[in-house]
Amino acid sequence: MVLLLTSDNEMFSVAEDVIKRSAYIKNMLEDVGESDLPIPLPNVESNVLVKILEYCEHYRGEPLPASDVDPAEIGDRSLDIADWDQKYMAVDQEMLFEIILAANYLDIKSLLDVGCKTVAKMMKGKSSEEIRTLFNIANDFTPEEEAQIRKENAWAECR
Amino acid sequence: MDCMPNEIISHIFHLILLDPEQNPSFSFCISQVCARWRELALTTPNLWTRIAYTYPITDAQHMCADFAIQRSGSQPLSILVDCRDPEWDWDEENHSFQWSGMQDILNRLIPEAKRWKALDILTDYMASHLLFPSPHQNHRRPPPPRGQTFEPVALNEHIPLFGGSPIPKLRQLCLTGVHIDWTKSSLRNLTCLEFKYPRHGRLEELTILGWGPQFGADPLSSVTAITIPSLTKLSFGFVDVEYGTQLLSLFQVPSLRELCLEDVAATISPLDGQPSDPLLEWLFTSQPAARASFSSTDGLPINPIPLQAVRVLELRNLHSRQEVFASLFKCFPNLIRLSCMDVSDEALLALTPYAIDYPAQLPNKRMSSRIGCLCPALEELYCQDSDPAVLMELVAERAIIGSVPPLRDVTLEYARTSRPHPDSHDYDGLVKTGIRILGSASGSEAFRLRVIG
Repeated sequence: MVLLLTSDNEMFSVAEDVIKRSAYIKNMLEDVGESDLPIPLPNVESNVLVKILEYCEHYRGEPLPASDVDPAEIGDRSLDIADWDQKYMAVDQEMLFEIILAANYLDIKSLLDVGCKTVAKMMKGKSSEEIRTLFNIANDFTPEEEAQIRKENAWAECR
Repeated sequence: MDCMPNEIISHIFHLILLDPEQNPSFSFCISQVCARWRELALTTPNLWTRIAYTYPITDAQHMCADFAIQRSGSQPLSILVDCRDPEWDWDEENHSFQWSGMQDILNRLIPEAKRWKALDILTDYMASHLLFPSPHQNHRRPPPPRGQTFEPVALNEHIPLFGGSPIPKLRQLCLTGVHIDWTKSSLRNLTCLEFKYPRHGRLEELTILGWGPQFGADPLSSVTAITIPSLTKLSFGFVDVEYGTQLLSLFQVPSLRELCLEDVAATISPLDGQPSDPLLEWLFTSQPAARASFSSTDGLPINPIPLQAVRVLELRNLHSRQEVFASLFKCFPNLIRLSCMDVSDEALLALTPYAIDYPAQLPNKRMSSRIGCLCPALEELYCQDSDPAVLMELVAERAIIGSVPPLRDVTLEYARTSRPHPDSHDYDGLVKTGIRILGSASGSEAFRLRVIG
């Protein structure tokens, strides 16, 4: 078993073959060897780690992706997401982003890809304004940038 | 979203824009959300490598293309030019997209020719004034064909692609409704070439749907053999089975591993089905093993396509008799995967084990030695709308004869008809036989639309 200590000081005891889906943890275990000391995860809160472990548990036993694969090359190029992954990602936006950040930190490439695809699907077909509203992003363009964008929009069909 | 690192946001952008269904102009939307996203988008050339022109061509599309060319840096470009007018009345002279429209596009694209990675051009009709004259020549419009009904196959004006200028980095080319003068078209390094309607190096995949070169009175003297030594995958769709047989007989493809055969006429108009016998019979008689017992190939040259090495076979809309399919399948001793879409059930019947009539005096009368089975290496079978009873019998009988391995991956998709109810006899039988069932129970998704330009 591997002990994990989250940023809010909760301790998790996890089977090694489950958490090894995280390349970060896997490498750490290989480098450090067996230890009774918990691995600190200062960037992951306990509620997020619970979700991450749910994912790792579901895919327990499945082959791990090659560690040297670029994230842009993972999976197919469509935005298709497996049924279970879709249900897994049916969370509020804040948790979705936390999962993506944790997957990035823990280096779980397949989960990072599913998270990014979920966000990509949310953005697809939306206008700039709709995307801003969706993610609560401020329009912070400088007057010069605004002028350039107006010029682009005078011609381009940007839905 | 603000807490996301740039590499993740950039990855999300890529995922959207790599989706082939996504309009490339979405890059503009991304770059207009906020200052950070704009900076990220403008400094990521890969986001701007797709250019799409679709009818009607507008100034906005030119503007998008100009920005894409500029912002994509030195990255390879994937380009789509679709100038088909859905309301075109088949009058070529009055088509609303003429050479001037293409010239505006080519003026932007040709200076970037060294960056072209993929280029798809879709047109309603084929004319040299519309497609690829040399950029260095004066473009003079030739007179349009007169006094004839529009038929792509009847046009005999063949176009030298790019006026014969070499495009050494071009690897993929899709031609729809275009006749090419290959003697004047300098394309030497293609790896993927698709023809739709009309007709090679390192070519590995070739798709021909419809028509190829026009044959004269003596078709075999006007067109010589088409030799493509590196071709491993051939998708061949015919409108006229006699013509298709003639065309296919010209091929010499010694490396072939995957073959797809389709009756395109039946795909377009299911009521106009034609027996596929001539083509299937020629495939059989052209094989070296078959020649000893078949003396005539109806005057066609024997340029065998070595089917014995083919591992994957796909049949679409083919209809024939069981014995013809049986002859065809004899040519595929190493076939591993077979797909039958809208193919008559006689094909499946031909794959069912059969009794061999040994002479009565043969002492060995064990069952296994008296049962024959075509395509003995077959492992995967995919069928659409086949008779479930025929399929179940085929799977069950191949599983018990012992002389061939059982089929290990069998799928029956109900594409045009409704999937049987789970309580039905057919459903139960299919499941018990280990056959995967696909399709909608309501049949509401039974329509399939294929658009051929």
